[in-house]
Parts: sequence; structure tokens; C-alpha cells
Amino acid sequence: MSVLIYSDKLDLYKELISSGELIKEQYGGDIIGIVIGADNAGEVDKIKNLGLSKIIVYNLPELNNYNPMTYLRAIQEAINEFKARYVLMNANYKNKILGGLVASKINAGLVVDISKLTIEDGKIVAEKPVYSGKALAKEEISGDKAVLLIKPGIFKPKEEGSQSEVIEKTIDLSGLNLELTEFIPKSVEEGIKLDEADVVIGGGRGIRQKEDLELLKELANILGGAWGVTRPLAADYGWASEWIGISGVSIRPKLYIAAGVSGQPQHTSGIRESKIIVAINKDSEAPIFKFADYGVIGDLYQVLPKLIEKLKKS
Amino acid sequence: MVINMVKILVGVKYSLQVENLSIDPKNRSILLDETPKKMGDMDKRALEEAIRIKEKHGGEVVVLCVGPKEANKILLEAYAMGADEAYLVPFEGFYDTSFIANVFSKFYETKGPFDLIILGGASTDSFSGTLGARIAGLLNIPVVPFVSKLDLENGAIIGESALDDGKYKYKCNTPAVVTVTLEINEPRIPKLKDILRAKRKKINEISVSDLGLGEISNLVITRDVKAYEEKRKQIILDASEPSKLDEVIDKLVNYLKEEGVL
Repeated sequence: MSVLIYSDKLDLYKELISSGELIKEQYGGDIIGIVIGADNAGEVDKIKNLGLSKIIVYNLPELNNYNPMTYLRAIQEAINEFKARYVLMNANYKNKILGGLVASKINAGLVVDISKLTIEDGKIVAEKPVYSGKALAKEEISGDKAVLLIKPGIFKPKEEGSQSEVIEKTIDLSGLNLELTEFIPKSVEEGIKLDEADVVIGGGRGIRQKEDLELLKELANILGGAWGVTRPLAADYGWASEWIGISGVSIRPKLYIAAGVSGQPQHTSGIRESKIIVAINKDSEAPIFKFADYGVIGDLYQVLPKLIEKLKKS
Repeated sequence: MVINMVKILVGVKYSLQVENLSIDPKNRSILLDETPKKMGDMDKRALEEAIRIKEKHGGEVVVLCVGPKEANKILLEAYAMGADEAYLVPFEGFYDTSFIANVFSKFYETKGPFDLIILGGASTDSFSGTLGARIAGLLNIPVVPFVSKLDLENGAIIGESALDDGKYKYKCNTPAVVTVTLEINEPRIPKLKDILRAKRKKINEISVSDLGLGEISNLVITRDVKAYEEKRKQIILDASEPSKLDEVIDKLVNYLKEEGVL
């Protein structure tokens, strides 16, 4: 028996290994790391001293960018070879699809977006947000196989361990009817990614025109953070390539300032893990104030410049 | 080869309207019966996309819903939008995604084959986003996930997927599962005459046992669901009078310094 760990980001293996140890404590077995694609294969040394019993590297040109069907082959191969019953991955959209495919192939229970993972009475119990982040569901794995997608920041990263054996493997990828014809990586304008930023400045429909996003950018710059928008500004008006919210990017900064954001569940569920939330809105009835630690009732076009001015001085 | 007469299966969920979630104030459990429901937002886009494909290439759109009898309501809506056949698999109580995936794959085998299965990328209520992948896995066909632009060209499906780190363009042959996002289209609003005509259409019922599914044990059991308590401080500073602005900003900055976030 073994527990497989896979992430598209090498940095997240440390946390996933800790979650794997929880499973191992209960069910025994080895924890094996799976690395897919040239970028991660090239940096596999980063995870070599964390106590994984083996690291299996699948480094074929077809695996350089995500294709759910080729990645499925790699994971399936590893499951078969190492008699894996548990597969742990970081929670993101790509892995929802990969995890769904893997789970159906091995008839495993699948829980995604896990915000807490425990063992209760010998069973794996996972908590995940549901109903647009308004509620928390407690799910139990009833069988003896599971694919679990865990949110970042839930487990303490494992910082050291014994040296792992790294094994390069090749797999047969013929007969797969899905071709990746183009990949356009997301461009990050300001250099700080929304989901990694300590400070995020968000703008909603209170922003009247694209040019006014400069206000958000300026404040984000002063505070060394990232800026973002709500779904309508990105998806409907095309002012940004991504948005903050459950169907876009979930953020977890120390400080989130929402300017002109009304507070739709779609958005608030993606900001829930922020430490402090500040809302600026001229409508005192805006739902966002219920999600805010500090609410400023006022016009963002007056409040933001004043805040920028004050912070520049101090 | 030009695709014509595309046979499409669309899945729709009778979803909770999460913006009107009814919560028991005593124990924060969710009052499912009292929460209004509707066709899932992305499911509606899946149906719209299927109808557009039919309008362009010819074919048939079959809609499937697993849910309680009242879910007929959204199947009538599907007819009004332009679906050709609607099926309800009556089912109440708890089920997990693997159960629903089994229903879809058995339905595909019983009433299919279909060229395309189009689903919403994620349901409006539980928002797991894994059903399409599970169905594809069971049927051994590819899945093109979270598609915001879909084309059928020379017998191939071309889908643009907006995923975590960028935009992916995938190509495959039919049959395939496609899951769609809110961005793919703007669903039509049925005209009154279509709504009236839909009311005369028959909703087919097909039971779990008709599909050859006996006792399926859930692989995941939901122990409980509790509404979050909003634990934010909700300290409100009123700067609606411009004269108060300086004072409010000073206060805000002080609060944020005390919190250690500035």
C-alpha cells in the first residue's frame, strides 16, 4: 500500500507530505511523490530531502503542459505499480479534473477544496466549503480508497527528512484522444500573484471605468501587494484577465481591501481566508459590510485617494 | 468529415439558490426544503451551448436531471429553451458524485451513444467541479474541462479551457465530455409561447433500477453541513459626509496598524 502525492507546484509538496503522514499514521504504507513535466523534473532536488520513500518522475514532452488525459496515464501507472489507495493533490481546477478522472478509474471517494483533514474513528474526515462558501460540509470517506484535494496553507510544511530515491519513468501515451494545441500562460502584470499576496486591493462595480483601476494599482504598490477585480469587471467588461471569487482566484492575504464591491457570495467565498477585510462602499446596506472587519461608508473615489495620501506620508 | 446531426446529452442540476440559503438560527444547519432551487447557472450555459450547436449543425439535445420530482420544473424550462427530450431520474436523499456519474454513464449506454456530453463546469451549490471528469473516466472518453469557447470543426471538438495558470486549447474527436464556465455564452430567455408549448411536453422518467444500477454505496458520505458564522468585527466608519473623511482615514489606518497588517 502507498500514498501518492502530486502537485503541479513543487513548493506545495512540503504541505502535502504532512497530509500524507496523517494518512500513513492511520493506514500505514509508503509516501511516494509523483513529479510530472520538464519544469518540475528539472527542480526535483527541491523535494529530495523531505522523507518521501520514492520520487517518481514522468518527464516526457507530452507532459510539459497540463493535459488531463496524459496526466491521468502517469498517475494511473503509479497507482498500479505502488498499489496506491490514497492520492493527495493540491486543490486547484486542473487537479479537480485529474482527481475526478483518477477517482473514477479506481472507484475512490473524492473530496476537493479541503480546508481541514482529520481521522475520526479510523475514517478520513474532510471539511470543505459548499453553497458558495456560505457553509462548511463535513465529508467522510466510506471506502478504502480516496483522492483528496487539499487547499494550500492547511498543513504545516514538512521541512526535512531522509533522502529520497528519484526514479525516472517513461510511459506509453499512445491512443489518447485529447490533444493540447496551445497553451497561453497567465500574464502577471504587477509581478505579485493574487493567491500569494499578503495585501490585496480589490475593485468592484463601484469602479466606473477601466482607467480608474490605477487607484487600486497605486494603493497595491504602496502596500507591496496585488490588485484584482470582481467577476463582472473581468468577465463582462474585460478589464482584467482573472477575478477574485470562487469561480476565479481564491485569496488569503493578511489584508484585503474591497473598494466598490457589493459582496456577492461568488466573491465573498473567495476572500473568506483573508485575515483582515476592509470594505469601502457608499451604500451602507451593501452585503460586503457583513464580511468586513472594518467598513468605510463612503465614495471610493474620495476614500482611496485620501488613504493613498495618508499612507504615502507615513 | 463535417459533423452533422450531433447528439448531445446535457446534465442539469436542481440546485439550491445559494443567495437565498435558509439557515436554522438554532444550530446553523441548512434548511434544504425551505431554500428555493433553480437550474444551475453553469448547467444553463451547458444547455444553451448544446442548443446553439444543434441550431448550427442539426441534431438532438437530450437533458438529464437526477433529483426530486419538483425538478420537473427545470426540465420544463429546458424544453422551453429548446431541448428535444428531457429525462428525470427521480432520486431523493444523499448521493455523492460517483453515484451521479454512474447514472450518467448508464444513461449514455442505455439511451446513447451521444457525440457530446455537456455539463456545467461546477454546480451552483456544491461547486466541486468533478462530475464531468468522473463520467469521462467511466466511459473512457476524453474530457475538455471548464471551457469558455467551444467549436466543432471538421469532426473535431475544439475547446478553450481557462485553468489555474493560463488558457489551454484542446482538441479531440467525439465522443467527449465538455464542461463549461459562465463565460461561454449568455443563455436565452424563453419566449412566452415557448414556455406554454413546453408545458405540454412529456418529462420522461427513468429509475435508477431501469438503468441497471442496483444498490450503489456512496464513496463519500456527508456527515453534516453547517452555515459559517460570520465572525468579522464589522466595525463601521461613516465617511458619507466628506468632512468626516480625514478623521475616518486616520482611524482606519490606526486600526490596521493595531491589527499588524500595515
